[in-house]
Amino acid sequence: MPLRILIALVLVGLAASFSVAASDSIMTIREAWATVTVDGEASSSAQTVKLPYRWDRFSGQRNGRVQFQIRLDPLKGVPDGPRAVYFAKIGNQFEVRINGMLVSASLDAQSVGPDYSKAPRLITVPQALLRGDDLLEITIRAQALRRGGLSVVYFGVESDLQQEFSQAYRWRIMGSLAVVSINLVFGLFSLLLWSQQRAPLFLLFGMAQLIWAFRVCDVLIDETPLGWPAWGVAVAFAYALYVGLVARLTMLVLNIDRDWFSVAWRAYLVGAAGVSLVAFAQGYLMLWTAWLGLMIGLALLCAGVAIYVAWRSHQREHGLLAFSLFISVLVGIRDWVYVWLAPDTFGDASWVRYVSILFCLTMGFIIADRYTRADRKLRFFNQMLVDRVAERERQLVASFEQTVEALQQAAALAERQRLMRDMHDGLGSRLSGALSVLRGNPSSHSVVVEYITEALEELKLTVDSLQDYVGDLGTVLGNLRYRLQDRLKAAGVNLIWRVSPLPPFERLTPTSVRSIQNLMLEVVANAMRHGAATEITVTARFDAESHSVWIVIEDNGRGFDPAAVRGGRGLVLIRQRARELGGEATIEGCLERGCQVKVRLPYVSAESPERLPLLAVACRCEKRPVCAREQC
Amino acid sequence: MIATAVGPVIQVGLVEDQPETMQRMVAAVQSQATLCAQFRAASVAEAREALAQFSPDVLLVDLGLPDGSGLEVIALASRRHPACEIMVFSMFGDESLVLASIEAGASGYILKDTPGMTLEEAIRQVHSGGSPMSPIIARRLLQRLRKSPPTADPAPAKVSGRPIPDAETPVLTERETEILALISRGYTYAEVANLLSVSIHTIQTHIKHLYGKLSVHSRSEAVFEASKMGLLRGLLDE
Repeated sequence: MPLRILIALVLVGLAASFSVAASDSIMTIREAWATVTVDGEASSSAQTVKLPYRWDRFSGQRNGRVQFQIRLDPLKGVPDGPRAVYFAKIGNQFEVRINGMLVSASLDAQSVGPDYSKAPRLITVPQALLRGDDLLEITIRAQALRRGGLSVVYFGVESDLQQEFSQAYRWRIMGSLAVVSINLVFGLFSLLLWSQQRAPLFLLFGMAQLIWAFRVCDVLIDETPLGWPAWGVAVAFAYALYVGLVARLTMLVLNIDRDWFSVAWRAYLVGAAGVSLVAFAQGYLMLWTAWLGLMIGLALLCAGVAIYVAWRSHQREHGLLAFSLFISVLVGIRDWVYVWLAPDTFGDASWVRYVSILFCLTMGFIIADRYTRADRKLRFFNQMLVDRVAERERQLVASFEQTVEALQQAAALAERQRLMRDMHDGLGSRLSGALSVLRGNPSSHSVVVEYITEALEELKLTVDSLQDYVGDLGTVLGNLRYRLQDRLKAAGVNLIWRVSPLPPFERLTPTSVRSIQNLMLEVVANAMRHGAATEITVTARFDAESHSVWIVIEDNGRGFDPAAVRGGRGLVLIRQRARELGGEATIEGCLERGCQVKVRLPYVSAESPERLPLLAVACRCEKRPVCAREQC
Repeated sequence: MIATAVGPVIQVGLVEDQPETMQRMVAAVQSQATLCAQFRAASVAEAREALAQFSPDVLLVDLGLPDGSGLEVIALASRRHPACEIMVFSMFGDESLVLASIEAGASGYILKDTPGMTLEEAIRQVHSGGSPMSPIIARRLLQRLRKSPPTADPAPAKVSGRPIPDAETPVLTERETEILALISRGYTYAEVANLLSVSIHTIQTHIKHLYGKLSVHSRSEAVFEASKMGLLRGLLDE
């Protein structure tokens, strides 16, 4: 509904034009005696011409000058007072005389550069010059296709004409200034957006607005930087370029991306450049008028497409753009018909310059609307992302908990298996041994006692391995001795104990404690059983240089032959214990001179907690020539 | 609960729920002329009853009782009969239980299967030098007693306006730290005595003192905790 009202208003506006209200105080002059001189030709004889007089209609693509003579009748029934002459349009250059006296002039015989016809002119006529029957002489010089000529002339009371002048000035000059300002602001803002976001929409719109600002700016400049017709070509091409950019912008907003359109668009630009150049350089009025008609046709096509798309899509920005285009085309048609085709409208301003403001508002709305939608979308995505991250975190936590649980279960399982092994191999086998001895020979008391004592020892060691040693290897060794001392004493073995303070280990697990116990027991058992030692020396110390703990077990037993026992079961067992730990060990055997086992346990501190202290035992027999029989 | 004859010898109270073990213990006690089984109890309830009735010189307590923990019996006995030597039966000298017992007021522990040592000898050993101290117990004592008990509030430092005697703030002396460190690394009492150029008797005295410190330490910690909670204020002002 509002759309219809707007269209109706525009149509009414098309018929309207600015004309001076007729009254007694203002004389409207629509005829004049004119002497026309086309450059390079002789002057024509004076004849009556109708005003407005438009140079392009009579000049035939040439520059030249016209001298108008108008007889001014005295104003009847109007009191004396200042008088003035008002021209809606005069130029391109002009000279005004009253009764032969020069009252205003912009005529410069030497230069055709400036164009003074753009602003309306109000020329005050001194009272002293008027005699009652006065001759108004106006000389204009005009250039082809520069819209030179003379509008209807008004003569009358200055104050009344001042109002007419002000109104026309406001509309044509101040209005243009406003349009230029608005276009500059919107254009620069849009380019700023483009520099940040690189969206082609902003680039096209920014360029279009700046070009239009340039085009409209022409109205404000009398003395143009370029001479005629170069300036005319530039301004004409700017007009055509603006229409082209708007068309491109329209297609972009409507999401129409066709190859043929791109080709047509480029062709249009080339055509516009060519036509501007030819028409203005040669002063072909019809060519330029026809081109304007073509532009209007293209704009109409764009508007039609936009209306169709907006109709289908129901999108607000499409609708608004279609509306703006439609209004623009109507205004374009109005200007084309009124300014370029109609013969008696010279001096009326074109409206099309104001159309760009409509586009500014449309684009402003589109930008705001898109920003709002993008912002909403962004919030939506943000929320979605937050939800996803939260979900992922939940999954991770769950997975972490599962992993921890699995690790704990694995650790518990490993511990259980170790205990089972200890029970089975140690305690179980000894108890069953005791049982079988009792069954076979119930009177073998001492053997049973031995079995059960060993079983208890085994059990104590297992329980010991489960104690918290807070990383103190010294206490592990000390406690082992505590458990062994009765057995050693019973076997008559003298134990020499030299355990220095040792730095704490970060990770001393029950498994590694058990491995150390087993290793030590194996070595001591070997010394007692095979070496028949009577004295065992245990030394443990920390070596800062190798950053290791060294445990050395020496005995005074029979020793062994390293060459003969390379693969012996004792060595295999020690190796097996060693695999459960890490580091290095050396076994030195010498026949009749005892055995020495050196174990190196790499010290693992908090700085390298990843590796467990594993005690690797490498069996290496020294070069001593005398060898042991027994395996170690 | 069976009460037996009372004489001038060491009166021994027995708290044990397993009849066979109890039988062995009674037999062991009765085989010694200097020992006398004063009473036998098979539960916490029986022990409580017996302790109300008798005042034993030595109390042997098993920790696993059918109606509760032997620790309750230890706490009760140490409160009621401060002069009584309370000893815990232990299978392995299980350190955490031993320490808990000593903190509850026991003087030491006796291993159930001490080879080559009679019950009497074991009891006499506890009497003279405290329980044998295993390396793990020594390590624990080092940990527990290395730092002085927390003293935050000046209030608990005074009882009825008097400062607490130094003896009640158990911090390890340098010598005690040395002894505990050596024992924790597996050195025997004799070796420790040799290394520190003192007699083995001195070492035993130290050990007994150290057990005492642990007990006092646990009590002073309790005092500290209680004072933190404001429980002692009223009592101290009385």
